[in-house]
Amino acid sequence: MLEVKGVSVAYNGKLVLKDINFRLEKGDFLAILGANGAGKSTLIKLLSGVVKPLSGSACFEGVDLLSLPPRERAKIVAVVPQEVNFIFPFSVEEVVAMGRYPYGGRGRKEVEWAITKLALEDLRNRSLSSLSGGEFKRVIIAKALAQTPKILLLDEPISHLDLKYQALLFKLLRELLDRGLIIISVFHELNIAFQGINKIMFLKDGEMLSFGSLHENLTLNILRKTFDVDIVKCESCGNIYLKNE
Amino acid sequence: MKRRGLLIFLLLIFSIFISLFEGSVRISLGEIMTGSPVFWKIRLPRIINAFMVGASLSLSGSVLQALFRNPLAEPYLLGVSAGAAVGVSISILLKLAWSIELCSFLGSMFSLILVYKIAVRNGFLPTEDLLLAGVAINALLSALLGFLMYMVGRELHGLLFWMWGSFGTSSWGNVIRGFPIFLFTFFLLVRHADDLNIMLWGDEHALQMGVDVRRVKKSLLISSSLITAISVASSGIIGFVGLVTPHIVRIMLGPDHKVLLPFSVLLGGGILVLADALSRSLVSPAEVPVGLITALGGAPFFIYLLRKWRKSDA
Repeated sequence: MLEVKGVSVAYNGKLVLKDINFRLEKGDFLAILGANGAGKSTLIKLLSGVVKPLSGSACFEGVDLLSLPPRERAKIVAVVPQEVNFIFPFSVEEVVAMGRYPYGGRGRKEVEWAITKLALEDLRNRSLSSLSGGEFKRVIIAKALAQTPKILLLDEPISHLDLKYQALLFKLLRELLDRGLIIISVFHELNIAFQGINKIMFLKDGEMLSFGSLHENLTLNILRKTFDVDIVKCESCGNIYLKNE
Repeated sequence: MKRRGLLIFLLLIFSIFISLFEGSVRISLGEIMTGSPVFWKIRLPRIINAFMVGASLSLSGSVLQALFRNPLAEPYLLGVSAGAAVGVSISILLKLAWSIELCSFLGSMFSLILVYKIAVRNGFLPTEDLLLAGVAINALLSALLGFLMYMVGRELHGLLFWMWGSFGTSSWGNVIRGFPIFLFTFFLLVRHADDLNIMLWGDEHALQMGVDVRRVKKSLLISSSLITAISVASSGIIGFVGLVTPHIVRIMLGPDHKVLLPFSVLLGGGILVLADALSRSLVSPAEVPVGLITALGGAPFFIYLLRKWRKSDA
């Protein structure tokens, strides 16, 4: 169980997350929604130790993630960032194996497992710099899985992925959730976000507007409030669209 | 892969072999066996010193390239070597002979931090900014170095020695003071090999992957300053070895620091031993400063890298 209590974060004296409280059980898949600058990425950075909170805690099974040393935290929390770049021609296999860093490099089996799960077998000896955007994304997802985390943080996980690999990813995430992984993800594309998630959080200007199960909390009102736009729902398919002027 | 590693070994042995016998005084194997003083008192410490300096500058280059996530970083181009030389000349000026290595270290550390502070933008170090900061710091420190040299009353020749490097004054003293520091730093850096690989993702993601970024960075900054400092204190400023060596090793053996660091030591050591042999045999019995030879070989390689990187940036 992950319990975040009273977390506030400030950048240069300005509060960017204000008193965030929520609780996730094993197997929960949380989508964080909010406009640009609402604090979504900051929440990911907080849980992965990049930014320090002014106050509050994030306890996983009784351990405060926010005060763990980096190596110990990386055994529990893995991150797939939205944009990262890398220099020098490491191979795909070497990069996925970097996920075993917190364990001193041990764990060949986990590396192979992650490579298979993201269908990277044929790319394993390719240099990272030779990959397409989608292939690169799959490699960094595999790297995060090789970390065998208990909590997986995703920032825009499907950007660059074509439909085939979006489907592969969601199927894989389903499998991991069934095994008790907690997933927290930032999405920009709303309709995609609603696939497979069971919890949802709305952020606006660093404040949590609502948090809870997808069905109870997803209303047109809260979407309008979060994004300051007029939104309509397609009655037959359930998809959400911007209202035509 | 193994064969390419062996190639680096062979180059090192070849350089040492050439270096043992070549020079203003040719030495035969028989003379070495019978205890030739030219060999034991002058040539051998000189070769060991050249190896140590080549190895140190290459290690420093490998570390700075990872730390700054920039393939064009190296101690000479960033002005770290010039900072060390200024430190050395200050200790000469103040007649603090015991503190040459210490002042050299403080100088290199100071210039490294200065370049970083000038070039960093939101946690990133764009290539252009880093190189321009290096050029500026180099210009400033070289001028300061020249000024200090005049103050201590050294002739132009002494200045030439510092600006272009030489192993002409190498002694067992240099080896005894420098080698333990080199060895210590080498083993420390090898322990950081995995950290260096992960640091290539940038501070933020490296932290997310479990690296204690602040602690590791501090350790890497101090180590690379230290080995640059002992190099400059013993033989002046020698450029481009630290740039070229890691790139050649990466092309031959891949970018993994567990392989890159030890083979940079072997190749960098070999290159500088060979360059030193050239420096004392090209216009024998006079000597060419060894930094001229590394610059003649290294600067074109630098231009090649610069063009290659600009292409991949675009």
